[in-house]
Amino acid sequence: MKDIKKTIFESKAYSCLDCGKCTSACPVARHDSGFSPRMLVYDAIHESGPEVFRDGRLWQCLTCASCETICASDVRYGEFIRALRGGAYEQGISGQCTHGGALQALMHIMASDELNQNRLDWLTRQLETADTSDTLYFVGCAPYFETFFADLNTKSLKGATGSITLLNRMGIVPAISPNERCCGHDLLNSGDVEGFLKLARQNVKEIAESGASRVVVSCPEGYHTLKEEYPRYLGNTGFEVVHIMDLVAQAVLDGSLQFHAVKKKVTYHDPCRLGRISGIYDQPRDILGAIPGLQIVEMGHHRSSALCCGTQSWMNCGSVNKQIQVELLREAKATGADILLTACPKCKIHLQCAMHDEVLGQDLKIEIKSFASFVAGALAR
Amino acid sequence: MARKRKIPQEFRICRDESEPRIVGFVCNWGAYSGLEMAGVKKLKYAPSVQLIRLMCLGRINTGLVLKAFEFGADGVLLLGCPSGSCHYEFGVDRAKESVAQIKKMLNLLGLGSKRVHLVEVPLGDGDFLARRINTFEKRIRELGPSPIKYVPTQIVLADQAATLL
Ligand code: SF4
Ligand code: SF4
Repeated sequence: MKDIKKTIFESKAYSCLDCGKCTSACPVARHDSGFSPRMLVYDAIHESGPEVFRDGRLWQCLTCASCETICASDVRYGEFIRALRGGAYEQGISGQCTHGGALQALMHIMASDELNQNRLDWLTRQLETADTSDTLYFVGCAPYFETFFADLNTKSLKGATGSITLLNRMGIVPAISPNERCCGHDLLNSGDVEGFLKLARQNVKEIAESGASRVVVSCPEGYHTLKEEYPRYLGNTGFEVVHIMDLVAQAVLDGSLQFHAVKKKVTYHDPCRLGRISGIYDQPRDILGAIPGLQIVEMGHHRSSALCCGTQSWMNCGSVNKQIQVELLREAKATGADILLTACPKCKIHLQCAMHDEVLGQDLKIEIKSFASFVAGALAR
Repeated sequence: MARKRKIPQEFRICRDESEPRIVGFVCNWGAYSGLEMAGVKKLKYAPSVQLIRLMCLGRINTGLVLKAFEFGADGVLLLGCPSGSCHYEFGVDRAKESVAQIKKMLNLLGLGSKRVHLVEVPLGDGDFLARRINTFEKRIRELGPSPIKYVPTQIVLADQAATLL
C-alpha cells in the first residue's frame, strides 16, 4: 500500500497550520459544505490508513491550485491529491468517469504502441507545416474533442489552427506529429501513473523521431505536462517546451507581429494550468493589449484568483461543478464583454456545456473563443 | 502492492489468439429472440462473437464501445430491433446516433469505421441474424487484429470500495 506518511512528507502536508485559508479559496468548498481541503489534509494526517484512499472527496478536488496558491505554509496540494489518488488507483479505486468513460478509453487506447492515427485531416493548405523542423507544434487532443463534442459545437480545433497561423506569421513552419498521443495529464491526475508513463514515453519517442529540439504547446495541460511532468518522471527529454503565448508576446514586444483594429470588448479567463500552475498571466494580457481598439475588462476573479472551469480530468462532474461554471459565466457576463477568451480547449468545452442549460441558458450566454484563434484573427493582413 | 489486474470475463474464454475477438451487444427483444430462433433451428454462427445481452441497444454509448476496443476487441457488433419497432421507441435510434460518433472516433484512431456495425434484426429472424453475424465475422477476419493491446487495470468506484478493502 502506498505510504501515506511519505506523501504527507513530500507534499509538505505536515506543515499545515490548520488555518483554513485553502477551504476559503476552494471553489468546490464554496458550493459543497462537505468538502474541505483542510479536512482532507487533516484526515490524511490523523487516519494515515487505507480509509484515506476510500474517501470519495479525493476525486472531487479540481486540482485547480487555488488552495496551493494561498497556503502560507507552502503545502503542495496538487502533489498531495495526486499521490493519494495514485494510492487509491493502485487499490483499484477510481473517480466517477463522465461521458460514459469514452475519454478514459481514448487515453488508454492511445497508449498502444502500434497505433496509426488519422488525426490530421483538419490541416489545410493555408496552414504551413513541415515533415521535419526544429520546432514541433503539439496539437493535443483537440481533434478528438472536436469530434466527440460535435453536439456542443465546441470548435476545439480553433486553438490549434490559430496557433499554427501565429507560428507561420512569426516565420516558423512547425512539424506536427501524425501519431502524437494524449499528453497523459488526465491519467496522471487520476492516479493512473502507469497509463501516464505509457503515453509520455510514446510522445517522447515521437518527438525525438521528428528531430525537433523545441516543442510549442498551446493547450495549458499539455504545456504543464510536457514541461514539468515529463522531465520529473522520465528525466531529460531532450527537447525544450515553450508556450505559444511566450513566443507571441515576445514577437509583439519586438514589433514583428502586428494587428488590425478590433472594436470589441473582451475578458480573458486564466486556465488553472496556465495561470496558477505555470505562472503565465502577463503574456495574454500583453498580447491583447497590443491589438488596437480592443478593450480588455477583467472578471471579479482573475489572475491568481481566477475561477476554475469547474471540472477536471473528465470525472466527477455534478451539481457543484455546474455551479462553479455558472459562477464563472456570470462573472464574465457582468464585465459587459462581447467575448470571453480562454486558452484551454477543455475550459471552453465545460463552459460551452454549462451555457446549454435550459433554464439559465440566456443568463449565461456569452460568445466564447479560443485565445489563439482570436489573436490569429486579429493579425494585420 | 501489486495491482489487481483483471481481464474481462468475456475475453478470458477467448482461447485462441489467432481467432478474432468480437463483442456483440444484443438487445433483449428483436435480436435476442432471433438468436433463440437460430438456436432452435440449429443454425451455425461464428463462435468468436461474444454476445452480451442488454435490455435495449439504447444502452450502449460511445464510451462502452470504445471500452471494448480498449480491452482488445477486434470488432463490435450491435444487434437490435429495426428502427420503428424498438420496444422503447427510441432506443435503436439513439444507438444509431452513437454508432455514427463511434465510427468517427475509430477513424481518428486509425482503426477505421468498419470495425463497428449495427444490424437491425427483424423480430425473431434467426436466418437473417446468423447470416449477418457470419458476414461481420468474415469482415473482421479480413481486417485482421486490432493494433490495441492494452490490458486495463480494474476500476472500482470510490463509493463501492469500502466492501473491497
Ligand atoms: S491553507 Fe495551508 S496551512 Fe492553511 S489549512 Fe490549508 S493546507 Fe493547511
Ligand atoms: S486544488 Fe482547487 S478544488 Fe482542489 S482543494 Fe484546492 S482549491 Fe479546492
